[in-house]
Amino acid sequence: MPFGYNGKILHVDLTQQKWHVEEPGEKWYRTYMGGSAFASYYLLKMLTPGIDPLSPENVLVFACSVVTGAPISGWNRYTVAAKSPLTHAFGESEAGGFFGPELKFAGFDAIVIQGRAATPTYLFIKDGAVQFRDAKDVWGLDNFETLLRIQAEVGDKRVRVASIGPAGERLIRFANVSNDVEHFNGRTGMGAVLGSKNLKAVAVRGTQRMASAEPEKVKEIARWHNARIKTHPPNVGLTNFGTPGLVKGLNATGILPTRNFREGVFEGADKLNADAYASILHSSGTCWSCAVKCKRRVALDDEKYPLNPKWGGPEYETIAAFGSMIGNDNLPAVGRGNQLCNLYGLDTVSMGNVTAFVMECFENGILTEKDTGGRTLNFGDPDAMLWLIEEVVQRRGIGDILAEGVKTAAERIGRGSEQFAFTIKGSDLPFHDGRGKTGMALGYALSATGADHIETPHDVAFQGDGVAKLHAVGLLDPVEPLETDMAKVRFFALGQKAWGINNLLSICNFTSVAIHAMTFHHLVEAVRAVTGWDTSLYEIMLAVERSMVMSRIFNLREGFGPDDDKVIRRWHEPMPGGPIKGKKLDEQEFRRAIEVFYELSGWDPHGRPTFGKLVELNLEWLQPEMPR
Amino acid sequence: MTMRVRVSLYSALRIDRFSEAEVELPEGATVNDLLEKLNLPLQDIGVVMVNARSGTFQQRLQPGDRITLIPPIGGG
Repeated sequence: MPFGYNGKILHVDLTQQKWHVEEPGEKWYRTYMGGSAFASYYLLKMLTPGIDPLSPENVLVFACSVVTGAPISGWNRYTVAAKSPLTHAFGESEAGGFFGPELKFAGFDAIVIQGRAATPTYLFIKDGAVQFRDAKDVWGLDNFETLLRIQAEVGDKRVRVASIGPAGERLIRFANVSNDVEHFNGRTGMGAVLGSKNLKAVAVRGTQRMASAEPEKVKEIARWHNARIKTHPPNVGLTNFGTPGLVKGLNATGILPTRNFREGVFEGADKLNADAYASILHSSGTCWSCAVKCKRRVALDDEKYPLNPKWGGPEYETIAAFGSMIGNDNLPAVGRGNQLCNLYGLDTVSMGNVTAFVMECFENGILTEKDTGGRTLNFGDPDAMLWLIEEVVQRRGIGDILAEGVKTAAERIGRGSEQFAFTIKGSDLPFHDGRGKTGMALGYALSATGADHIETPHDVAFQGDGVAKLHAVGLLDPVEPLETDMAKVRFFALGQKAWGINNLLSICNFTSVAIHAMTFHHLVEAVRAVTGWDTSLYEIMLAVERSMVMSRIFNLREGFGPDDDKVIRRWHEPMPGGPIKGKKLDEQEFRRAIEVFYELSGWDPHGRPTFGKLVELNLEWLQPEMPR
Repeated sequence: MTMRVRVSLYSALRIDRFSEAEVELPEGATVNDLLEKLNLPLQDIGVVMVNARSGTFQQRLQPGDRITLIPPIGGG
C-alpha cells in the first residue's frame, strides 16, 4: 500500500460521460511527485500542440501531490492546469483552502479531464466514485450561490467545491477557479477552460484519511512547525497582518507598482496598508490544517461599497490591482472590486492590469468616451474600475474586447495602445517591479506560465545574512536586489529550484522554504515520514527541475522560444522617482543573464533542453516532442 | 550594564536610519527591545537574522551579536 498518495489518477471524459481510474505505480509517483509535474506529464502526453485552448481538445488537470493532506501547515494546495486560453502556453495556477486535501481523502491524487459535456455539468466525486450531474440549475450563478446550491443538491455541507462563475461560462480569458469563494486558482484563465468544457464545478467529498508511513513522526514535525510559525518573524507578520502587510514595505522601498507599472511609489499607499485594512477587517481565515491563518475576511455596512465576510477579502495582489495600479486609495472600493471578481470568477491580477491599461490609454487619448459609451475611465476613479468589471463580465461594449486579455485587446484596439499593454508570454503581470527585484524579473521572463511571481524567491529577503536561508541549497553570496550580474543568475537558478519545491509538492510558500517557518531539513524529513521513501533534498530538487523542463518543452512545442523570455519595456526604462529613481534593467545585461541561465541549465542557445539534460532527468521520452 | 550589538538594515528600513551600526542595549535585551529602540514597528519587519541564523522577536541578544533586519516585501 502506498503512503501519502492514493496511487489513483481519475480520468474523466466529458464527451462520453465516462470515467476510469489509472494506477501509474510507485516509480511514476516518485518521478513526478505532484502538482505542476503531474499536470505537465498529462498535458504533454494527451494534448496535441496548436489546439485551441477553448476547444474540447484541451486537457484540464486538477492535481495534488504525494504529500497533500498530511496534517502539516500549508500542505493543502492543488494545481489546476491546461493549455492557457490567455497565453496559449502552459497554463497553471495553484490555490490553497480545503479542496486539495478533500480530493485526496476522496481517493484520488489528480483528475485528468478531457472532452466537452453536451450540456452544463458538474462532477461530484465521493470516496472513489464519480457522478456526472446536471448543472443547468447552477449555470449562470455566481460562485457563492453555486457553492450553496451544490452543497444543497448533494445534501452535504462538507462537500468542497471548485467552481466557475459567469466569467468562466462566458469564456473570459482570465476567468479563475474558486473554492469556497475564498481561495482561487487565479492565473492563466483556467476558469475559461472549465467553461469551454461546460463544466461548472468539481465537487469532492472524502471520508478517508491518508495514511503516512510514520504518522507519529509526521505529527512531531507538524507540532514543531506550528510552534515555530508562532515565533518566526515572517509568519508572525502574516498571522498579524496577512498579505496586506506587504503594501507598506514595497511602497517605502519604491517598488509598489503604480499606475500601470509607471511608478513605484503610490501617494495613497497609507490608505491601503495593513493599518488601514483594520477598518474593513472582519476576521481571519485559514486553509486546511494551517496555523498561519493569513486569510482576511472583510465586512462593511456601506451603501456604495458593501463588503460581505463570506465573499473574500483582498490580498496584497488585489490591493495593488485595484489600488496603486489604478491610482485609487479607496480601500472599501478595492474590497468591493475584489468581491465582485470573486463572485463572477475573474482573476483580480488580470482585471487590475486590464483596468490600468485602459486608464493609461484614456489618459493618452487613445481611448475616449466614444469607445466607452460616454464613460470616463481615469486613473484614481474607483467607480470606473467597478464599472469595467461589470462590462467585462457581461462582455458588453469595450468589455467584450477586454475580456480577451490585455495583449489581444491592445492588438484589436491598435492606435498605439500596444505601448501600454504589459504582458510576458501573453500573461499580464502580478504586482512586483522587476527594477527592484531583478531575480524575480528573471522569473517573470523565464516562467512557463508567463509573468509569475511564484516562480522564484524574491531577492529582497536574501540580502546580507538573509542569504543563510538558502545556504542549504548551496547559495552563499548575499543577494543584491538591484543587480543583474552572474551572482544573480546563480541565485535565480538555485532559488527557482528551491522555491519550486512548494509548487511541486503543493505546499504553500507562506509556511515553507525558503523564507517561512519550514526548513529544508524538516521538509525532507516530513516527506520521508509521509511517503516512506528514503528521499533527499537532491531528489526533490531534481523533480522540480524535471517539472520545469517539461513545462518548457510544452511551450517549445507550442512555438515559444528565446524571444518570449523577456520582460516589459517599462522595466528597461529608468524608474521615474522614489528610492530607486533611475534604476532600470539594462537590456543587454538582462539578455546575457538569460543566456547564461540557458547554459547552466543544459539548454541550447535556442532555449531547448539538450538531449543530455533529458537523459539526466529521465525524460528521453520527450526528445521526439522537441522542435528542431 | 549595557552591551553593544551590530545591526544591519536593508531596503526601506535604511531610510532615515542607517545601513550598518553598533547599537547599545541593556544587557539581556531582546530583538523586540532593539526594534523599540530603533522605532521599528513589528509590521515593518519581515526577516530577522541573528548571527546568520533565523531569529525571533523574543530572542535574547548577546554582546557582539550580528542582527539583520529586512522588511516584508516578498510575493503575495
